Amino acid sequence: MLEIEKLEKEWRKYKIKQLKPYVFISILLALSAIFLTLYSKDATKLVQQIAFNDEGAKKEVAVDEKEMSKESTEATESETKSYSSQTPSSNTSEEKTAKIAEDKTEIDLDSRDSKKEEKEVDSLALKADTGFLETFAPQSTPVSSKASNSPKKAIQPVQRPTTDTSNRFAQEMKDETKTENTVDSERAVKEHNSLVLTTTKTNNTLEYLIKRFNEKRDPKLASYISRSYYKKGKYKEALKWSIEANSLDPSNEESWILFAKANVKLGNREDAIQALKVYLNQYSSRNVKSLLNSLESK
Amino acid sequence: MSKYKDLQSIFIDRIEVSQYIGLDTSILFYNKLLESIQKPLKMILLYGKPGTGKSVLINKIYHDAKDRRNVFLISTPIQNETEFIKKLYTFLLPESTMPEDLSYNQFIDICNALRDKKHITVLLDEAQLYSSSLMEKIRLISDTRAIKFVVSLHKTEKEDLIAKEHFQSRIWETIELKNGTIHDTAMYVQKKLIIQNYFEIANMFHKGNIKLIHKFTKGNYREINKLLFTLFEIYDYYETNKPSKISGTKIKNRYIEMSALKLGYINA
Ligand SMILES: Nc1ncnc2c1ncn2[C@@H]1O[C@H](COP(=O)(O)OP(=O)(O)O)[C@@H](O)[C@H]1O
Ligand SMILES: [Mg+2]
Repeated sequence: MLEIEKLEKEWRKYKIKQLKPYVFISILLALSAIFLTLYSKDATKLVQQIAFNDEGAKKEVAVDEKEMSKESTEATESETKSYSSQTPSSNTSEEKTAKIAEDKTEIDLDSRDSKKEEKEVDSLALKADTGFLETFAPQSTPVSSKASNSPKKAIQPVQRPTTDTSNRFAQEMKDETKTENTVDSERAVKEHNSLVLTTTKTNNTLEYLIKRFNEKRDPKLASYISRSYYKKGKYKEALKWSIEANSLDPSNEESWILFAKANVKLGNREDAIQALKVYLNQYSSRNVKSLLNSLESK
Repeated sequence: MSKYKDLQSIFIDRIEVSQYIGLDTSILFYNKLLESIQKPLKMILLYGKPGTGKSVLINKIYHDAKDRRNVFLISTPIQNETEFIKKLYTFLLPESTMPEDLSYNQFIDICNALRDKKHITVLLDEAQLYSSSLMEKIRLISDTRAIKFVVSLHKTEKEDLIAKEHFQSRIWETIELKNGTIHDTAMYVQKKLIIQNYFEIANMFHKGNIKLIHKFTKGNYREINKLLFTLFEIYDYYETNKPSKISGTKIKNRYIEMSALKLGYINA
C-alpha cells in the first residue's frame, strides 16, 4: 500500500535537494560580486602606484585619459556614420515597399479570380456560418463578426499586411520590417491558397465529402462536415463529426466550438462548458472564451 | 467505487480499441502504416521502444480493417512452429480442409499454389518473442506473396540486428514509433479523462502539470499511465484521510513529484 508519510518526507528532501543548487549559485554570485568590486578597486590602485613611480606619470595618465576620450568620441562618430550610412538605404526599403505592394496587387487579383469562380459557394458558406450564430450565440460578438464575414475574411488577410506594414514603416524603419513583410505576404499567399482549397471543396455534396474524408482523414474536412450538419440541424451528426475532427487535430479551435454548440443543442450544456474550459486550459482563444462566457451567462 | 479509484483504473495499461485516442503522432503513424499495408510489400517492420503505442496501433488497424477476411492479428506470439503454421493455414483456408500433420514445406507449397488467388495481411505483435529460425521461416512465407506480414517489435540492439540481417532485402518499409511530444502528452491525459466523462478532472490539469509529466515520462504512454495511476492513488489516499490536502481546482505539482518519487523517476 501507499506509504504516504514516507513519500511526503521524501518529497521534502527532494525539494531541498532541488533548491540546493539555486541557493549555492546565488551565494556564489553574491560572493563573486563582492570579490570583484573589491578586487577591481585594488587593481586600479595597483596600476596607479606603478604609474606614479615615474615622474611624468601624472601626465601620462592624463594623456591616457585623453586618448580614451578620443577613442570614445571616435567610436560614437563611427557609430553615427554607420547609422547615417544606413539611412540612404531607406531608398531601397522604399523600393521594397513598392515591390510588396506589387505582390499584394497580384494576390488581390488572384483572389478576385477565385472569388468569381466560387461566388455561389462562398455565399453558401456564409449562410452556414450565420445560421449557426443566430440560433446559437447572439451575445458572442467576436465569434459572430468573424464567422459571418467568412467571404470578406478571405480578402482581409491579403490586404491586412499592407496596412500593417505601412504603419510599421513609419514607426521602425529598419531591417526587421523587411523580413516581416515577406513573412506577412507569404502568409497571405498561404491563406489565399487555403481559401481556394476550401472553396473548391464546397463544390461537392456532403456524401462526396464524407467519402473524401474516409480517404484523406483531413481534420479540416471533418470540421467542415460537422459545420454543415450543424447548419442542417442534424446536431447528433454534427457532434459526431466534431469529435472526429477533434481526434485528428485536437488543437483545432473550430472542432471544439462545434462540439460545444452541438452539445448545447442536444441539451448537454454542462458538457459543452467543460469542454471549452479544457480547451482554454491548453490554448488561448478569443472565440472559445466568448462562447464560454455566453454559455455561462445564460 | 470511489472517484479516484475509478480514475486510477482509467490509467491501467490496456489495449482497447474503443479507448483509442487520436494524437498528432499516433494519427501520423496510423496513416503511414495503413498506406504501407496497401502497397505491394512483403513485410513491414513496426518498431519502437516499449510503451510507444505499437500494440494499440496494430489493434486499431486490425479493428478498422474494412475487409476482415483479409486482415488477421496474432497478438500473443505462437512460439511453436507447427502451431504457428496451422494458425496461418486457418487464415487462408477453411480449418476443415487442413491436413492432420501439416508441415512447413507443405504449407509453403499451399501458399505458392494460392499465389495469385489470395493475399492476406497478418499482423504479428510482440514479434521480438519469435525465435530467429521461425522468423526466417516467416520471411520465406512472405516471399510467396500469399501472406504479407506486419511485424511489430521492441527496439533493442538485438532487434536492430534482426532488422538488418533478416529483413533488409525483404522489408520495404520500416516505421519507427516514438514517444509523444509535450502536446501529445497533454492531449493524451485530457482525452483519456474526457472519454470517461471526467471533464472537471481534465480541467484540473494545467500547462505546468503537463510539462512536469512530460519531463518525468518523456512522453512514453506506458509511463504516463503509470504516473497518473500513482497520482490518483495519492489523491485517493488524501480523499479518505486528509481531504483538505486536495482541495482546490488545480492538480498540484507536488503530488506529481511524489508519484515520480514513488516510481523512481527521481530520487530524494
Ligand atoms: N493512441 C493511443 N490511444 C490510447 N491509448 C494509448 C495510445 N497509445 C498508447 N496508449 C496507451 O499506452 C499503453 C502502451 O501502449 P502499447 O501499445 O501497449 O505500447 P507498445 O506496444 O509499444 O509497448 C497502452 O496500454 C495504452 O493505454
Ligand atoms: Mg506491445
